[in-house]
Amino acid sequence: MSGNIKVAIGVVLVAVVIGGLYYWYSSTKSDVAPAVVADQTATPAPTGPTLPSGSDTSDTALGQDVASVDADVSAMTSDTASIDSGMNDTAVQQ
Amino acid sequence: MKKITSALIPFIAVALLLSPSSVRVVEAVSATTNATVNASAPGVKAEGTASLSASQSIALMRGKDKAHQEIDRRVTNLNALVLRVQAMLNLSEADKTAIAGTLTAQVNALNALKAKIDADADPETLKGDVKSVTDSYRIYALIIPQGAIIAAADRIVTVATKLHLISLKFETRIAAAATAGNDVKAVRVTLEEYNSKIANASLQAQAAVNAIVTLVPDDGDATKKAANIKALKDARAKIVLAQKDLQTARKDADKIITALKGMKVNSTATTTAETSAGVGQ
Repeated sequence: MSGNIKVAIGVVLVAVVIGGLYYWYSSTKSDVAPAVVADQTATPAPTGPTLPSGSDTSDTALGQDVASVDADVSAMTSDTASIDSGMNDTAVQQ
Repeated sequence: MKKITSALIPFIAVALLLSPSSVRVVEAVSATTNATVNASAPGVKAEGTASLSASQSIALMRGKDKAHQEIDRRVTNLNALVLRVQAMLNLSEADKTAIAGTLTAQVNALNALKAKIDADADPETLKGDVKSVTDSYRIYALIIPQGAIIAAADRIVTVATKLHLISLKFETRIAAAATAGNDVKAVRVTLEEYNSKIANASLQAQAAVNAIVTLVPDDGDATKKAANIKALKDARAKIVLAQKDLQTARKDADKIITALKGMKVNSTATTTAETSAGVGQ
């Protein structure tokens, strides 16, 4: 009889220990933050051209703005030359 | 203007990736690269070289020199186009990387072909490799002007965008000048022309890109070749028109700035202060 009681107490103790371990495991597992996955699909949009003076509308600012355009307007000549060069290209005779 | 940006993307696929000729060139280069490994085997190379006469050896060297010239020229121009693409302002970094990567792949393919030609010891093999240089010219001859037109359109968009932003400032200044009692009729007329030129330039640039973005290498088809040349010429004419419009708009900007200076309206802050002071009097 006393042997059965000892077995019963042993089973209860094992059950308590297993239950405690399970509770501890469950509680610590839930504390782990999910991994943050960076959004790999997001593609930064082109910044596009801006004016050097920002939103300033003063005469000085307008002068700076048109000066920044002048550099691009001058470069347009080389663009046309590049198109012509590409269109008039001839292969080295093999 | 955003349409132009989106139209640039198909350029990658249509002109390069999906081109049957392009695929063939890559395959040819791949095949010839494999052949290089075989031809480089010591026994085979020695045998091939030994069997050549002096005249055949000279012809082999001349053939290699001409192929080198052609490959080097194309590599130089393709690398220049890569740099130009990377300098574009209206493409995202990802798009620029994609286009530059495709062009660089062409450069790498040409360099691989050059290495293969260097190793060629057999006249027949060299003839085949030289033929692939000639065949691939059809792709190159389209990509270079196509890329140049797209790059030119990108700059037009850049200039048009800047001029448009300046136009908004002009509107603010003219409104302030009008509020201050200045006669702004003439300057408004100039501003209308200015805006009209910017809008037209953007339309022309868009039309130029649309005209060439779907072109594919002619693959020896004379009709297709003629159509490609016509489309490229038309696109070039549109680019030139757009550039002229922007130059006119730039001159209009000077007229507007001069007129605004004569109205003694220097800045938003000053204008606001002066207007407030005037109202209070």
